[in-house]
Amino acid sequence: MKQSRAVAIIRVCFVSLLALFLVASLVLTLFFARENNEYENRKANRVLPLTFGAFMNSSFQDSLESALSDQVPFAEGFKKAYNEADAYLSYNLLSATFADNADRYFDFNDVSVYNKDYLVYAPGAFSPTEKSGIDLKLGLLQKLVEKHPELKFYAYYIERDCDLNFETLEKVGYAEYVEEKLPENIAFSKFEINNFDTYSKYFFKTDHHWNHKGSYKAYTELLDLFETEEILALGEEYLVGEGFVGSKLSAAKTDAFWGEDLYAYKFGFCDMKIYENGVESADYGRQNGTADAFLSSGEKLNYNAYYGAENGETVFDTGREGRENLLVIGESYDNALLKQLACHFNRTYSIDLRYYKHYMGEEFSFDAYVEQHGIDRVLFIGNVDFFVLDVFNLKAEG
Amino acid sequence: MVFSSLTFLCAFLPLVVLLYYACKKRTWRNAVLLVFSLLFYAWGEPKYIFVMLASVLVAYLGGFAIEFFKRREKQGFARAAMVVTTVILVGCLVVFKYLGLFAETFRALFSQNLNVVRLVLPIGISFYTFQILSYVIDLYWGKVVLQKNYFTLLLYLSFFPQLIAGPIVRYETVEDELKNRKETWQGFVAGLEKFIFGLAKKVLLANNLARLADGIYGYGIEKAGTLFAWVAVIAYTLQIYFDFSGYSDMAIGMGRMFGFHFPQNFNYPYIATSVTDFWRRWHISLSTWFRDYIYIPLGGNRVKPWRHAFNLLVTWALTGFWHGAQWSFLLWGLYYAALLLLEKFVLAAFLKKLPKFFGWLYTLFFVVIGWVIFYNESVWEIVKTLGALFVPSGTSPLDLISSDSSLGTALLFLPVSAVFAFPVLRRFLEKESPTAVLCREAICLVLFVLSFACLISSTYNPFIYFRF
Repeated sequence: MKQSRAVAIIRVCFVSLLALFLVASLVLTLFFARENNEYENRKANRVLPLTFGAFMNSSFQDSLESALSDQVPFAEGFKKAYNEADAYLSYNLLSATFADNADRYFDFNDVSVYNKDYLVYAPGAFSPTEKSGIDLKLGLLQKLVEKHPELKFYAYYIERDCDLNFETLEKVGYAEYVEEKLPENIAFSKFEINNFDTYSKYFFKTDHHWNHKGSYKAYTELLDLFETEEILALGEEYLVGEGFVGSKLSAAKTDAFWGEDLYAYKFGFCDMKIYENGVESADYGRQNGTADAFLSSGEKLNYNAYYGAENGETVFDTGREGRENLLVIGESYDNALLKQLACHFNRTYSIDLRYYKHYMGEEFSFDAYVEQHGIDRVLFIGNVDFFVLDVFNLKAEG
Repeated sequence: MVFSSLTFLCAFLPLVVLLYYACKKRTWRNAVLLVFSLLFYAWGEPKYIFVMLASVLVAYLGGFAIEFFKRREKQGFARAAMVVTTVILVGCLVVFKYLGLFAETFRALFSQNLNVVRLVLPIGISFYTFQILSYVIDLYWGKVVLQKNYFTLLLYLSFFPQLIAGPIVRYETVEDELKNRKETWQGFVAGLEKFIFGLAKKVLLANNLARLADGIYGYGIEKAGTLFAWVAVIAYTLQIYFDFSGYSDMAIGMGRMFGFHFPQNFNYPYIATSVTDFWRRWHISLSTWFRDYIYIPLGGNRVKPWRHAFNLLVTWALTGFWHGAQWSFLLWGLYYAALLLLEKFVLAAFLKKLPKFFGWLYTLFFVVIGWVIFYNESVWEIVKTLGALFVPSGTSPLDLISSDSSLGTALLFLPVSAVFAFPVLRRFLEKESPTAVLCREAICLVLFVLSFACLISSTYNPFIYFRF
């Protein structure tokens, strides 16, 4: 009798625990949904309103599945624990292999390990889709050049890990294709990577961006492109902070085995006013400070935190009326050199077409913008994604 | 919707259980199950629910016709009604599942410029067609009585636990339980335990074994070398077992939670000591369906040897082809027909004398080779895989691992899975002492949490520079 009572109690506890967890999952997802997913650093998924159309095309069903994955109790803990455990096993089984075979790529979750300490995106083949993406972009640029003969146009292609196979030193050929097909009236230069040594010198170990040496090299090459002789004095190299969080750590699903510190150059920047998405800002990123400044605010030490956020529009106004105005249309790579470049112009306008409409409330109009701000020079700058993906393209006008 | 989805675990299952037990009357409880079963089916592809509703309607009306003629003792008409109903139901399956393959084959053989359209296969059509056929044929044979309520027949067919991946529950099995079943607390908990064990089989074991098998096949089985080729096929052998038996366990467990008793679908098939024994343990509901509705009506083994062989060939060709619209499945079925014929006519006496271990080894070898045929889509790929297995070639683990580091982790699941393919836990799972129950429930909770974490982690989608 006692035994069966004990069994009954155990079973009640077992079912109650499960029921409580599952019901709480549903209630939290439907009625108390979180705004953000801190672990994955993005907006948390939420359930779409249930409509007949949404049900029939399965978007409601998909949204419920995604929402549950973000909203159930301990969702982030579950993901983190699982990913860390999985990465721990994979890494420890293979760490010796990584070290013994430094000149090979090893696929690790959504990224590759190369030279033991570097997380890289291994190159693939130059696909027809990528080719047509570049053709589309260059076609649009051709129209701009024809429509605005009064402007000087420049293009700067940034080669990175996915442009070159470090094992064979074969290039995928993106930059060469852009250079070949680019309209004649656009002056072209590129940030060239020809081997792993160059790559490791100019890029982070755990982030897809260039480091301070890479961005400075690009800055000097851009000055050559602009035929500008003055150059900003290079200050000393200093340690911004330890524990830099590179984007590829997320792709590797762990930050336990790879890491690095963030170094930067001290520049004697000229005086300038900075406006981010129309709002005046004390600095772009924290380029004047050390890690303490933002780590104390709970922010992670990553590329954008230091070099500046991905805005729709960032304006640098030096007040040097006699100089020209520059429009930079690019992506996050240019964040690290915008302040330097700005010192050579009256006003420098940086546009990221992925975010412009979100922050500025309207589509970006090249014609109107150029006229409104008295633009003299236009620079298109980015890595392969910038030249291939449609989100970086100007909408065709007139 | 699949059982191993968060929507099913966190929304569907708790809601259906709550509403089901909130109702007191059987009619209302059945109504809850029916509504949720239709929702379950419509969740993935709403429009194909009409194919299922139409199939039930055909069987429902066909049932009335059969009964009508039987009552008037017009056996020939009753038989005709059964045949017509069967042809319509099987025809529907053929149109959706095989027409594209037939048209493609015709085009390839005769170089005809046919415009081939492969229809989207309604989920579970192979399973529910066979279930509803069991009703029609058993009604004709007088094994079951006419179901006059369309909705009860619809509930039988659409009942969500067994709708999309079996087991193929015959109408005869649940005829009584559709109206008169008894739900018990003990049954509910036992069902929940079985469900969780099934979930863990699928999510923790099968999915990780799939990483290993697909990883090596994806890399190129001929490049992987003999050792890793064997690893891939053994991983797939275990994956398909844990995947399928996991789903069956979940279905059977949920059936128990609502008072139904579905038959066992897998009985440790990899301990079989002959191929005949294997098929008594693997996907039992399918093999017995073919036995009872195809093999025995053809004459079974109580005929001349050549006819017996013919019956086996037909049954196994159909069994193979049932698994998918690919000629390789037909080949797989014929492979088993050949093995079974060999066992029946040549090896029977020898196998009886053979020590069990050797019987087991022989069976496992041919089953693994069978899965090679099953996995690969073309004869050329089958030959390539067999070549990789039997023509010794050097392994290049470094190349393989560099293509996917997670293979190393997935490899750890191979021995663990191999152990659980044997009945190591059978006694423990049946014990009812407080300590055993406590251990079992604790293990269930741990398995549930691990499976849940595994499911959630598959949605990992970070964005490092998020600002809005």
